[in-house]
Amino acid sequence: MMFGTFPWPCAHSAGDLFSISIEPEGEFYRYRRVCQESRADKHLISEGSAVFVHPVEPINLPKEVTRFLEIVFPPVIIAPESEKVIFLMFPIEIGVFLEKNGEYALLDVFSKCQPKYSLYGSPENGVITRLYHSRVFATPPECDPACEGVLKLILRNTSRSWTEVSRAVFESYYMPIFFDTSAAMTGEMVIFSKMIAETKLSDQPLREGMTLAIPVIRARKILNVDVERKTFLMEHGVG
Amino acid sequence: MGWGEEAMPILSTVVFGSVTIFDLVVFSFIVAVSVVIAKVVGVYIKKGLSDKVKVDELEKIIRIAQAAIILTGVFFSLPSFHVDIAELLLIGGTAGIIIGFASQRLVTNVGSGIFLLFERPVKVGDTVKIGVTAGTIEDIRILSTTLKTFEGVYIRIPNETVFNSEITNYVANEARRFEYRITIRYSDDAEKAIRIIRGLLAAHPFVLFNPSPSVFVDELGESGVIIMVRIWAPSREWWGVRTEMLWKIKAALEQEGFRVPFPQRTVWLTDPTRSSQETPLPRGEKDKGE
Repeated sequence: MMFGTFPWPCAHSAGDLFSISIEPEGEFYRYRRVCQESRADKHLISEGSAVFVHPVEPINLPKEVTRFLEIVFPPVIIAPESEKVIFLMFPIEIGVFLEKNGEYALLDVFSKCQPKYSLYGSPENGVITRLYHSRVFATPPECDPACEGVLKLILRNTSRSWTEVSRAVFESYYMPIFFDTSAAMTGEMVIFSKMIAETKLSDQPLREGMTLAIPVIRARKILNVDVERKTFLMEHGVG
Repeated sequence: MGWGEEAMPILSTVVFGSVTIFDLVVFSFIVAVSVVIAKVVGVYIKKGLSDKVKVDELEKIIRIAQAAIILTGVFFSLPSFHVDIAELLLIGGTAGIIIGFASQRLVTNVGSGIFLLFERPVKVGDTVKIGVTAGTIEDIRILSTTLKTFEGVYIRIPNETVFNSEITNYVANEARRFEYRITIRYSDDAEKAIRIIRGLLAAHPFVLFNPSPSVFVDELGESGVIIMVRIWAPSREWWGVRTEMLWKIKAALEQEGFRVPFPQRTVWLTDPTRSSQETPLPRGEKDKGE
């Protein structure tokens, strides 16, 4: 099992992918994590009641420089005023959260995948994005659960022309990621023209029985962000 | 007559109009208490919100809260002066004009400060160059803007100067470009060097995928082949990327057998005993870039 909730203290290993442990050490506790060559070691002076290992928004590594996720895929061409569903893959990071009395805190974030960043739009008006290249699938693909999740994307072309789509940019402040044995999201992209589209992620799980992951942004309790802002307007093209 | 004035007759001494020393004491006390409360509230706001809002927004919130508390204190202390608000506004207006003329520079600074706040060419935390001063914006106040230079020196610049100076904001745009000129020997394989450099750039998270980095032979120099490397990075990370990648490129090229050529010059010496028709022989000539 890769993700889940573990009682305090805990030792959890996801095969060769990663291992975490929280063990008593004298009066305190010690958190250790190993994921490939990357390691974390922290001292905890307070006791929690549970440890959560969840897939989280892929914008934290190596440090947070953006809140946008851009998925680039081979171009698909959609007919005017039509709707189609495609499946893509998106990157994930793994978050370790502590909980006590309903208060969550992010203890650690790691990933075995190398992140890459890009710029959507121009340097003056664009946004830095966490970039991911995906193939396009007609059905939910098999993916590496330590690195990727499945994104069900509903493409809705409201324009009156055939449109080529090869990228989707999402706001990570509202990014409901669900998980069971792997992570998944559901989103939609409303295309207004070749240059403008609106993207939104929904709170619907891809499969029955999936659990909603704890969003990092809510665990951090950052006040000056609109966590209810669900849409992103792609003004610099969809192709 | 207040209890203080009864206890200490000196307090009933009239200073001007009907204002006594006691009134001044009451006014000063209320204002002082409101300043203390404002400071305490500022500390609490900072403690509570410092990890939840951006630094410049936090400063604004603190200032607004503190100004509101102090103005409330002043408002409550005014009755001790037996002030008629309408009269005060009239006097204040007249005094404002006089003070305005008397302190033009001050007013210019205030005006410039207000325009800077609206136009927002710089924000707290931005890396900027104002005139000839470069550094990070520490604070934007109503009269002045303070910077911390890269050497850690505090510099206060009057807002009038900021407003009239050329401002370079290094982080205003989301991404910025920087470049290296890497020189290899003429005998080295430039295509291989370009491949190695491209591989390193592709592996670094903050070397932006788009706009893509460009690596190309830019010049056949005096001592070697000059390869130009142009990289776009997020504006707030560019310096770290720049310093990190330069050494990584140097180390990777050296590992593959590339060497940085030393500057060389070929010297031709003529032999006066030989006929001028003959070609002079170079002494110690080596191929360029060896």
